[in-house]
Amino acid sequence: MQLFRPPVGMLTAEQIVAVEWAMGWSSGLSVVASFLVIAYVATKLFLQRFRRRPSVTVTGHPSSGSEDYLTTDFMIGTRKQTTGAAQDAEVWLLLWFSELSVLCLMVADLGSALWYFLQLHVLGVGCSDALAFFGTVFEPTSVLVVTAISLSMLVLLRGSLKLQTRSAMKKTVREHDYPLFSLALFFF
Amino acid sequence: MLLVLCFVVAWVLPLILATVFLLEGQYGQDAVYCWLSPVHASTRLRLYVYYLPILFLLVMNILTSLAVVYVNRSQHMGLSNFALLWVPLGLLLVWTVPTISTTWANVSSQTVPFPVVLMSATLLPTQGLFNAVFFAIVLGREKKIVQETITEIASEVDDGGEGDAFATDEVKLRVFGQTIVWYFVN
Repeated sequence: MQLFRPPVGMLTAEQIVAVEWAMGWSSGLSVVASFLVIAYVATKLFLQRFRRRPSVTVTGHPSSGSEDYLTTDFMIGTRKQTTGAAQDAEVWLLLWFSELSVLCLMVADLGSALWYFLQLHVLGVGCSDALAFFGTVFEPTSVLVVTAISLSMLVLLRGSLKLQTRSAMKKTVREHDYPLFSLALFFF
Repeated sequence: MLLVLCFVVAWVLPLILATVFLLEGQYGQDAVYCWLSPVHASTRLRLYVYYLPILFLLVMNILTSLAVVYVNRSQHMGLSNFALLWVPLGLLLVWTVPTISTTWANVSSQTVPFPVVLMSATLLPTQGLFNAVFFAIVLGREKKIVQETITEIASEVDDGGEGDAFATDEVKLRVFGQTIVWYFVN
């Protein structure tokens, strides 16, 4: 059975079977693999939320989520005294955020792989606006997320290096490599 | 906050583009794929709005990774350079042949050779598989390494004096930076 419909004369029947077989296996494996990673990370995040998060208040700022911490701590030059427990909470939030990055990437990959899998019409759907829309959203997203991650790596590695000395540390806290982030946004 | 914004843009931008294409009625069958139809969407539109930006991002990712490798080497950060190049190499592996295939189809009147079509159909859907395998490889190492780093940095911070105004920033930057690096490139 011819599952997808290339233009007449583009591919022979044997070639179509080969393409279907190749795309079916690669996209099918991608769907399963992406889903497993998502399930693992999501479960881990869910369990951590209830088991590991310390209930801490940073001076004058209730600990209401990662955004509050990142905004307060990375963007304001003046820092507050924090307790050891507050440090634990902040480190925990950063680990949590890096796991969210993994989740974000794998969801994009899952959507993209699902789209390829559905191309084969194995679920009985033909080419529709909904399917095309789905693919157009997920296909480039994976690349964009990887771009965001690689830029983060560069910025954070640079930030880490700049924190070698106390004077450099103060300078970094003031400047925060904002131009690099601005550059990243320009590229997007 | 800005990092979060980067991730939001990564999702919202394709969503906006896809919505515009939908409203313009440019979807349909394109050979093997169901997306922008060559009947409704011009070659230039697909090239300028879709392929060229992706190509640009791939090149940018590779340059960024090379910059990270440079920082790693020059500052003796102790990360594996091969590992640092893993993600961009994967992107190249996944996207090179399909990009050649698409460019060929758009600029040449000749039919794309079947091996190229077959390789495109095989490689493009493997992004998820590639990232998942990579995640599985680093998973075993991540817990141990991150925990050791937290302990190590925490002890360094303690040695630096109680109540250091910038100590927490150092911990955060280093742990987050190194954690995300380990997740994706180590």
